[in-house]
Amino acid sequence: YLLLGRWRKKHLTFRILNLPSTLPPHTARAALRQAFQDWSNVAPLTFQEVQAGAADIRLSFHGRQSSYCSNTFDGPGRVLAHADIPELGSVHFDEDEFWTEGTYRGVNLRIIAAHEVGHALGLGHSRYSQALMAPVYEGYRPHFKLHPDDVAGIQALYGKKSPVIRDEEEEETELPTVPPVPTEPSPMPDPCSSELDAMMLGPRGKTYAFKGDYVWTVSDSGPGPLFRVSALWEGLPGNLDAAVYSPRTQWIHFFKGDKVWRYINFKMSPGFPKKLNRVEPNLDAALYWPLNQKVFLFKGSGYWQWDELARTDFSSYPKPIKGLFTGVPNQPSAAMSWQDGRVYFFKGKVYWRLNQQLRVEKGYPRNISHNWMHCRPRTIDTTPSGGNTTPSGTGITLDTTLSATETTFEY
Amino acid sequence: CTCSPSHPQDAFCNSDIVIRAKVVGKKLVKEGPFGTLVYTIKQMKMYRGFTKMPHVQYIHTEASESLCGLKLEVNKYQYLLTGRVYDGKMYTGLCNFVERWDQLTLSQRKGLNYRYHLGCNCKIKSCYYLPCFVTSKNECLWTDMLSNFGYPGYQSKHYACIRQKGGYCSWYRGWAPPDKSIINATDP
Repeated sequence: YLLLGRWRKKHLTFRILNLPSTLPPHTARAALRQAFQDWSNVAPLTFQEVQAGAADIRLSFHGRQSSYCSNTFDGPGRVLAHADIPELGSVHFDEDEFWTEGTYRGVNLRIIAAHEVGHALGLGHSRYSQALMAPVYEGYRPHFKLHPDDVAGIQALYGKKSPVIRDEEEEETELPTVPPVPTEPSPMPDPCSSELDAMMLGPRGKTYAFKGDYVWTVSDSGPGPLFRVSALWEGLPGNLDAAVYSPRTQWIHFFKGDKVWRYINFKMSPGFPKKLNRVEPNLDAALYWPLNQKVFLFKGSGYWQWDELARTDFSSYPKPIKGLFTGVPNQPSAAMSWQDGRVYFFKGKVYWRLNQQLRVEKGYPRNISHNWMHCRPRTIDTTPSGGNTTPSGTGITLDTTLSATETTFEY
Repeated sequence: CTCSPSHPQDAFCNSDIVIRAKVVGKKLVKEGPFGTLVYTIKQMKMYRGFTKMPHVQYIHTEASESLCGLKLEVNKYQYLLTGRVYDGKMYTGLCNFVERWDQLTLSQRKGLNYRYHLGCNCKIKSCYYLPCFVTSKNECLWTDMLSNFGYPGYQSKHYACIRQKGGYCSWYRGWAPPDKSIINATDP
């Protein structure tokens, strides 16, 4: 980070003088206010909006000509916005840009505003291209967050906010390993009708399906017997968010809430579970992609790519799922790379298969129960035509890509 | 100051002046809230702008980087400088394409010499999210912002968007072996 100036007070007023024509007024105002909050979240600064009169920081939109700014803008593209440094307080946006919020189209007002408010508070440009204070805007990020360099910069000017916020420390913090409280197990799921918490291609090519407190293997001969999750992986709770096995490291990672567990086979690694600090809690799914040997974590419409053996810079994540995985739904309930080398996503009662270019193949989504669990459709109480279970009448046609796996556990 | 990413060819075509020069002096003059920096330069070569200003001696930029002011080292490097002309003065800034000459790739140098000029009738369409499409014959899809390597990426460093046989504009790398990942990426 680079420091250009400093306000000699920590309570600042701001005023929005006009708004862009491309956004509803309340959306634009909310985006501009959020820009201030991004900074007051991490530094002991308070901002108060005023509707009239003098204000420390004044935000406005002008174009190629301006009656009050000698530094005029240049039409669409190139310069998007500029600002003064303390203790002047002008923040100007190019009115010829297509200002947007909550979409990949156009130029995101909230992110650019946060950058310019950063200048108005005294920050110069960062040499980290993923920092908010980098000079070039690289597009909308739905889960936008300040980069550690941005936080370090503002705290160098105004000090830290107390209490210290989470996500600050770089290392994962250890939690006391409390054995899970033995609680009443959730009802046994029915592999034929149940939606899934997680799917994993585990060690020795076995496919595991997780739901509630139970896990079972999946093979050509149908679902195997149900086990309590904690009966196989001691110390692991049920109702997992995601599970992923990496052949590269032999590690199995399980995710639930804000915690992560690591196992090798069925043995928990020392120091786990740990707190998830560098990605968001409550993940939806996780998979290992053999082509680049990375682990992908999914939540909502975003994903993180994680190198297990290197320090990964997560500042550019989450990235949009649809940017890499074409045709995949948001909030998948499970995901995995399978024996056939393809990537599968699961959500609700259906699944999607992706080709090597990570594009959903023709004919998907298909039915999980039918093709993975090899369940026969209920013949009595569902109508044969228009039934919601399987496309075939007999219920035993197999998805050709599924091949035999064993059904027993070796442990 | 925030800039939208710009491909060097776009920067070239949208500039009044494109020169290679060495910075030999620097002066702060009072103009605007923070003043203006005026760099004295020794022009080595001009690629664009002969009609607007055949010989550039001074370059103006805002003194504050929050207002897109540009910092250049004096008596140290040769730079590629692009900018616009207002009132007979050349202005540049952070959002213009400015690079140390020794940091430019061979393709960029060739681009400056003739390829970028050939491509000024083509349109480089920035692609920030998928799917994105070309909508006319004269567009090339610029996908560096989507790549894991970020901006500036392969297309900025190694390609020019040039009109080919049949009137279509497409990415051109010249003699260098084609880069497979980019060929895939430009396919909408």
